[in-house]
Amino acid sequence: MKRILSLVLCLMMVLSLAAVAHADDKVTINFYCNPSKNGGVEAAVAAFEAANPGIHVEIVEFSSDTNQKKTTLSSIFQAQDDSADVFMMDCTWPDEFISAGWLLPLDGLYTEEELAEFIPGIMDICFGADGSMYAIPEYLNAGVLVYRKDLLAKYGYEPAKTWEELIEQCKVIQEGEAKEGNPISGFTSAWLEYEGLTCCAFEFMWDYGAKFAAEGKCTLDSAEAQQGLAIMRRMVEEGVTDAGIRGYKWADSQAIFNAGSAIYMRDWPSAYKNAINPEKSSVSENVGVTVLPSGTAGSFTTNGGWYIAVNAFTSHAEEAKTFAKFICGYEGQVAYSSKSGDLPTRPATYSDPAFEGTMTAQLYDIALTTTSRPSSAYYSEISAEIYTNAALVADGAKTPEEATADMTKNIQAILDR
Amino acid sequence: MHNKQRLVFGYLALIPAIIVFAVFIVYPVFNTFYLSFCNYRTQTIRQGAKFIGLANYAQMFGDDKMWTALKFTVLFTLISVVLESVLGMLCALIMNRQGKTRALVCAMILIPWCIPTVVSGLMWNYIFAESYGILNFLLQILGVTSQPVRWLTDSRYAFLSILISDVWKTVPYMSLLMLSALKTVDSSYLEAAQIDGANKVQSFFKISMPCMKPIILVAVMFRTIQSFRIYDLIRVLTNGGPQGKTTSLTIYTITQYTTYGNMGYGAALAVLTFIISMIIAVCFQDGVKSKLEV
Repeated sequence: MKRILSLVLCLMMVLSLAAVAHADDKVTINFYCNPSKNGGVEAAVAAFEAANPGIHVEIVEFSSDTNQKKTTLSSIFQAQDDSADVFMMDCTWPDEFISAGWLLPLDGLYTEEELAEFIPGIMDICFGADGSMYAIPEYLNAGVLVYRKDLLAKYGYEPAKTWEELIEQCKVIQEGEAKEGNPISGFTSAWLEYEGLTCCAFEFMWDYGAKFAAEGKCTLDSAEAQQGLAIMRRMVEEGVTDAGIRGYKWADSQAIFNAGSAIYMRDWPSAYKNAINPEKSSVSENVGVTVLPSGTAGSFTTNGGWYIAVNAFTSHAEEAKTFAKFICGYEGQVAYSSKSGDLPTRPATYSDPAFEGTMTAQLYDIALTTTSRPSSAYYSEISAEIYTNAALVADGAKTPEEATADMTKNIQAILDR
Repeated sequence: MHNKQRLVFGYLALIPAIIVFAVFIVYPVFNTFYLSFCNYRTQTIRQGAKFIGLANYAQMFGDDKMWTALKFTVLFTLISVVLESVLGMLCALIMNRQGKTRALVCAMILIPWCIPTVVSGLMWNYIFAESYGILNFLLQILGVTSQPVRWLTDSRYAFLSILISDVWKTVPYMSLLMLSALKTVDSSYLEAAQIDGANKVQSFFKISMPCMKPIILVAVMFRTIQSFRIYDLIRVLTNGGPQGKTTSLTIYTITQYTTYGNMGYGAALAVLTFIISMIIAVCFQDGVKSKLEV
């Protein structure tokens, strides 16, 4: 009995050694990415592994909270750990990560012609102060207005072109629906005090002509910025926004819209993809999408783009760089964006047959003109100033004048560091 | 000789525990103290930690957000510990009664403690949610309110919501400690009081309470220090709250440390929390000592 047992144990050890030996044939790299939207990441990774049989990519999903993603990466990099070989990076992190020395320089990966294949306006962030390239744009995001086609048609409206129009439409529709015993919210979005609110606040302020900074001085203490914040407060005061809007992140806001409880929603293109998906939305046949309403200075949308970067402490630098280049390449972006609904960063991909007739092709013009948030190594603190003050205005605890004054003073202190 | 061998072996057997303690507790605590005197940020992490003396502490005492967080934390701790102690004692008295349904009642009272804090936070999120929460639904059906109450996004109600969730979660813990305290009261004292004509309330306050004081003080001390460090419940419910009004000291510390990458300042805030916890412990120790010496 004992002999048989020891024989079985030896056999198991040998087999497991063989498995380890076999596993050594392939290089495994870890890809830390955002939670998968409709299988986009899996599709891109599958395409990569088909083209590169010697490399296996392990997909590691982040939490859906952007601050949490940054915390996870910070912990890994502070330990100089090599577990995150390639990862997705929000467009507001590069400055901080580059100055911390956490990103592997990607020099030599692209030629000048290849770099010109990306949308030009989003490439600045990829380069550090030393001129080296540290990140590659993977996908863009542009804020869009998702709306209920049936409700607008019922009251004879076209999708609102300005914020004022949106407020008037919502008030009429909400009153009408409430009379029929079907109370509904006008507008939902992610106005919890976090990065999502910063994106929305910037859009409102830019829509009325505000600019963040000029020549190193923060210029948000302006009538334009105050107008932008004031329209947010007006929407809350007049009952147009959903009751819980100041507690929502993007997923919560989508849940409200997909349950049929809101007329309009400001979100990213992937939210539209979810809203028209019968498995996720109960109003999937009645959803339309269009550009965001404009203020007096036009309609602006925040670039919520994500970049791909390589861990400076990785032990598989070559494989990681190959994967990074592929997933940001033509094939990788088409595979990812056709499933996820996010916008590619290569203009050439927009005419690919995979996007024919989809919203992606419609949003090409917006994609070219999304506006980036300010880049700074201390971006988290600047963002906190913006969302804290926008929240105070939305709640009526501060007037727009006080908010822009405080915001500008504190941001200037950060910029002066 | 045999005894000495056993002694040596005993000390050797302690070594793994000492190593774990040193690595996971002693080193991080000392490292945090050291960092609190340094300028150490992710943005300049390549330059290492630069010693700057008490500059972080000076910044801390001039920081409005720190004082707001401290005031909130102190107020929250005071109210929640008092509520939890009183309700805990009531539950302990219920659990102490003999009866057929005793096991069931005990189990029901203890359930909130068994649910992980984050899970119960998410649960309360659904209860308190403005437009789809059960609480607002019930209030509207009963006709108490016509508009949804903004439990988590109105600065007046957010404090209350967090208090309710925390008290609900922690009363079982306090009731267990109070129950063990109740058991230590010598029944002969209570019988003697009954014979002398004391009613239940009188015998509780005049006999049981003085006997239980040392244990109650220890329980309240532990709970106060724990409550002072509240983080996960607030993180899940309001994330520091509408307009930063429900930011506890720990939430502020972690925001500075991880979100802003300002690790030196975060360490100084952590040291502040440590010092306050020590002060609480010392205050209670003195109280316990004087009671025991009676």
